[in-house]
Amino acid sequence: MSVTTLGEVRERNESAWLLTPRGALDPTFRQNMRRYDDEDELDAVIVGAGAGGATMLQRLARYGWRVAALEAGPFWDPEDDWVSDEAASHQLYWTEPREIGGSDPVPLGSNNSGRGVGGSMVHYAGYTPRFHPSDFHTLSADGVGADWPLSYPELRPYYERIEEELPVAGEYWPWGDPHGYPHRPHPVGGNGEVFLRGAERAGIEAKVGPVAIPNGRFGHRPHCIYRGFCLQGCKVNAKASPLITHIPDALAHGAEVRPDCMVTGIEMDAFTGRATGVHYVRDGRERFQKASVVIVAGYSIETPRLLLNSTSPRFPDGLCNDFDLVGRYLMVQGAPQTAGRFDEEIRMFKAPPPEVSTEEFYETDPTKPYKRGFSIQTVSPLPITWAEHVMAQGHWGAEFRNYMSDYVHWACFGALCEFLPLPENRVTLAEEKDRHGLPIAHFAYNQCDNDKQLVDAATKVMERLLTAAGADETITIKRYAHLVGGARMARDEQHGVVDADCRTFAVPNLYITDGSVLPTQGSANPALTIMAVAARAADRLAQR
Amino acid sequence: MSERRAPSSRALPLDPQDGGGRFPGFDVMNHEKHWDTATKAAVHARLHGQPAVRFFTQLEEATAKCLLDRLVGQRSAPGDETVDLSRMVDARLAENQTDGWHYDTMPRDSEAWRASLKALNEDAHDRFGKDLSECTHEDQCELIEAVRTWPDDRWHDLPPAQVWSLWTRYAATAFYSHPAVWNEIGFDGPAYPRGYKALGVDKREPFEVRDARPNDDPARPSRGEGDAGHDTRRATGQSGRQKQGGDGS
Repeated sequence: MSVTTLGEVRERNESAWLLTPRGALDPTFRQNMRRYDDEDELDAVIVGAGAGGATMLQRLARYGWRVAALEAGPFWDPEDDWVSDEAASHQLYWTEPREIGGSDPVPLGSNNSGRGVGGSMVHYAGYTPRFHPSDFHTLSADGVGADWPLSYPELRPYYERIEEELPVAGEYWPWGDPHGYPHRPHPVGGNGEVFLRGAERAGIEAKVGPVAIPNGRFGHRPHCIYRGFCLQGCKVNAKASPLITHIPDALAHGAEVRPDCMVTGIEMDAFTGRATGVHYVRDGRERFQKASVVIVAGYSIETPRLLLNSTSPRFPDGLCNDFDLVGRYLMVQGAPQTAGRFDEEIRMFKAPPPEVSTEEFYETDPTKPYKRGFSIQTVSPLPITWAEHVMAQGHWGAEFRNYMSDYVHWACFGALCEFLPLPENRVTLAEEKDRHGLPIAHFAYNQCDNDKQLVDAATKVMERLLTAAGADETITIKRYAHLVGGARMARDEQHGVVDADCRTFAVPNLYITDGSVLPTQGSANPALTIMAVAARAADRLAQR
Repeated sequence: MSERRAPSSRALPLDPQDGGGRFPGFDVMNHEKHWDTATKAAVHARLHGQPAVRFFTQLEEATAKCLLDRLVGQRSAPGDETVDLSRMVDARLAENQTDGWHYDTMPRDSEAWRASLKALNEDAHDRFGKDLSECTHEDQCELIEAVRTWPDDRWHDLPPAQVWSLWTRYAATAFYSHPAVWNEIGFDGPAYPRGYKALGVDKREPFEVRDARPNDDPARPSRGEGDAGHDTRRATGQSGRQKQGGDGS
């Protein structure tokens, strides 16, 4: 259990106490925000203001650095910009053109790509599990995946700090490195109740949490109202995203967030071999921001794309791409969702989708033919997403609409299966160009046998849970969740793009601090780990 | 509920056999006064601010209307309430409000829509000698089902699985964003700043209406007989075209 006091958390990151009484970013913060000039040589410029970028910004500002984050999307005002509506939340996603391919193409957009200050954490469910200690050495333990140049104990203090700063609510966590959470678990809705009931009857251990929604006093963050629209951006300001958990403190310490700025290239000094700043487009004009350190945090598709688009005589195939590693080993989790039908009314759209999880199947089970494992969590699709579930069964027309009329009777769980990092799963540049004239990303995905076995095994467990809870019918949709990898960390430049401190091997003052540096993904939602890795990188950089 | 005004979203025609009338009297729009300003504006624009058709040609519009209505099972007689799906999809394509990504075997969404509508109408001419929109309801359904079950990798010059995915994604997004359709599935719609208090299985807020036919599982084979026993039906789908009966394991 954490022994840190609230005062100590506030001492480290005052964001929650800087919000208005309604939990929003005070408008005067944006008005009075420090604004640097392109000519100012910043101590660091950060590309992207999501989980990795915003954490870096806040930490480096606290170290007294002159730092700015350039964000392609807008600086959100949740009350006016977001809606409590599924279809009208489209603007939260990265919707610039991208191509997908491979034997198992992964749809992007709404499911996994964010845009705007706060990044994908604006529309993530809110689950914030840690990785297990075993995730950091799957290659030596199981002969699959990769070993990190970083161990779990090195990351643990950062997990603890970020859990306190979000903060995270949940039951005592018995899996991985057992630990408690700063806030008590939330009450559950119908979907969570079905999960707990099924788990108890099936003899599977399940726990409530871990969810980055405070359940108790935390600065000016309002309490959750259990309205179920976590994936549409939390207008309540209850669910954590960097927009409310790290940006306010960063601004209070002199950082700048420059929204609506698309970074198009990283400039290199051929003589020194160092990065000198970034090219970006704002209001249709090309600009250049000078900086002594460049930090890229554009996530697993845009980070590789930016590096590949940043060519120079020294790096003709893209920045940091001497060993053809940029864009490779990109991973998604296999995320089948299984729903069960009950005569009772479940009304899964009420209460946050993230409620209950089990990590009982997370680790390699020597009795199984596959390596590594999966976790299972509640997910609660709203009507449009639920319609995709039903249509995935092949239903359409009158039959489909009849099926949909049954919505209130369904409970739905999702698995996160640890797909393995494969070199051919990668971002490359497509022929097609975006409106800035830059080649767009092509993202190829192929599943290996181990991946497919995990999806089948996870589906069976979800069917078991739902059947034990009393479901008389189950339907499963195969899909994907999350993105990590694409510029992974490793011990040396022949195996990765960055080192354990997120510094690129090829350019001494260029860092990557987003999900793309993760060498493996476990069966955990990646947000907490991305923030923890970034917070550690900030300490290492500032103390260098 | 003290005052009950006339429902502002009239019910869509839907026979009880097809899932209609399960939530008698439930109307999401009666609670609009509890919504925040931004959400209210978004839903109002959807109901009352759909722009005129700009993207589709006349023939594409006729084909799209037919296709979209058939996909979601919308069939209306003159005077019936309908959800104007072709205008909603037209607006998204005109404004390039896509998800951004596209399969590398497919063109961008706007081109894919034009090409697939053209192909579907060509099928109607090949098979029935007239435009899709002039065909009978049954013939239209047959032509659409043929695309879903198309056995080859290419249908005209397009991959049929990806075409089916494109059509159904746009159709479902438009249809299930409409309050009148929320009413028929018992979904409460926008919930900020009100939120929910009655969480849990079989719990309802005071304004929620209980399903009048809770045993009416459209997928249960022995409907009404009430005993599914341990015979849980299982089904799995992926790209949206599969249709597998429960294996009754």
